[in-house]
Amino acid sequence: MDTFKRIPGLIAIIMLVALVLLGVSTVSAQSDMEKVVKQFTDQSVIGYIQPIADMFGANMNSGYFHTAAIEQSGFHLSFDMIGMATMLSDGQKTYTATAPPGFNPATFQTATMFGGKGAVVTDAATGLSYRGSDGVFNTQVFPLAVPQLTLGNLYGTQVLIRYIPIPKMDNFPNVTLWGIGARHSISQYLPDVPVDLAAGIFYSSFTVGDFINYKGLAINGEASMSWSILTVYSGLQWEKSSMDLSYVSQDVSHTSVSVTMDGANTFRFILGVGLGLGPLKIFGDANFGSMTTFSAGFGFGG
Amino acid sequence: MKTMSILLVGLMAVLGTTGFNCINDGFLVSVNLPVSAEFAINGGGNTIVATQGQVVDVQLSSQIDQGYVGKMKAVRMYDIRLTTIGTYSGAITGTLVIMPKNGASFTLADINGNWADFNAGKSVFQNQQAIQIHKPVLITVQNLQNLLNQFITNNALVVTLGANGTSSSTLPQGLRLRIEVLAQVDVDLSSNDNNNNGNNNNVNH
Repeated sequence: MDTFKRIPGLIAIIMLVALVLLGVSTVSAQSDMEKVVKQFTDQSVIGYIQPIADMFGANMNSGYFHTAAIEQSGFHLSFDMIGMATMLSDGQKTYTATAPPGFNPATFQTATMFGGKGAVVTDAATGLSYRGSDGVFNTQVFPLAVPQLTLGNLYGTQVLIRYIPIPKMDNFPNVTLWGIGARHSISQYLPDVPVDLAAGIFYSSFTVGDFINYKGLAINGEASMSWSILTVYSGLQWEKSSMDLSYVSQDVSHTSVSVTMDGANTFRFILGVGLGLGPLKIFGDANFGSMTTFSAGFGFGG
Repeated sequence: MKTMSILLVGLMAVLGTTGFNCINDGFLVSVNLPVSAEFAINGGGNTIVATQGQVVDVQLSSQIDQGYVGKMKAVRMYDIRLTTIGTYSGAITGTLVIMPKNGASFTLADINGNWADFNAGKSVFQNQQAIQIHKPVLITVQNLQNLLNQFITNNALVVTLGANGTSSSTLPQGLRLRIEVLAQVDVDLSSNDNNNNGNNNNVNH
């Protein structure tokens, strides 16, 4: 019970850590990203920044469940801190960019935002050259951390809430991450099935001022089995995500750019394991789809 | 509480080292640097002369975001375009010239075609007959690169664009030319130095 008494304080600490981590990461990275992205026109920005849409979408649709066991009734309140990381593939470090009109060759391979040095394409006839921008981020993984509150149980149903607000600071716009979802026990209708089964639906949003507007949706089927403190869980998930970018290009034309990028992941297989140590839970899972994502964390309550 | 502390430290270590904030050192962003000028040409004769009133000064620092001035590493030109504005049924022949303000000019491109053919704009890539990089091409490109690269150390650099040539018949009043030198400047956005000493004006003589 002592641990339960400490939970509000612990939650505050965890929230603070999450805010600091996500806040510093998001704001500083957003600053560099925004400066670079604003050099691009709507025709050229998509290839350069597409990996962010892919990996952010994969992260946001991760970590929704760590067991399929949901009681039909009874008060349930738990708080989880979840870290996600999507792996960057080599193919996401370059993209095919369009050379200026009339250049031969007409396209060239150059760095995405996660690539290395930008490539230079040289027109064979004139010797004129054109350069792609360098990558900004030097990393193999794209991480994210979110807090998640689960509230239940009513007719075998739980509600999930994610929420991180970061207010506007100096030159950086306000950042808001939120998500809401519901999970429903299937096992209550199938009492003879030896594994716990559930289904869930989740919606998530992430905005950075007027610059980034992300939306994600996931629907999954969940299964788990528990032995003492050990839980093995798995799931199949359909999902979609899109990221809108809106900005005014910083070349002298100052044209407005508005593009939408869909995340690459549309389906994933999830396999994970959790440990229940009284009110403390520790969990981790691997997610296999177009993107490979790992999710891990800990939580309290039950 | 000890377990909690260990978990928090572990989480911070994992998230803090996974690398989203690993910014490439000295990453360069290639920013458009359009050096463009539009000016009137005198009507009533059949010559176009790059002299007072028929040239335009371009302050290069006004062509890019002021935050980039002082962070530039290299400049390169990738196209030259000419657009004619106004109605004239004749042809023009001549050259496009560029020079540092009050400096010696050199020829950018040779032009030869009907005035109307340039109304929609012609690139050195679009029509090798109407507008060509002045030969020898490598020398022209190198001269232009040398001129534009002065912008890296001289943020107040002003270049002057103009044209010389003749028309096949008397030029009417009200005609204009737009010359565009499309270039890129590589900007080191990871650096914080900024020695902006330019101003923001294009100056018509």
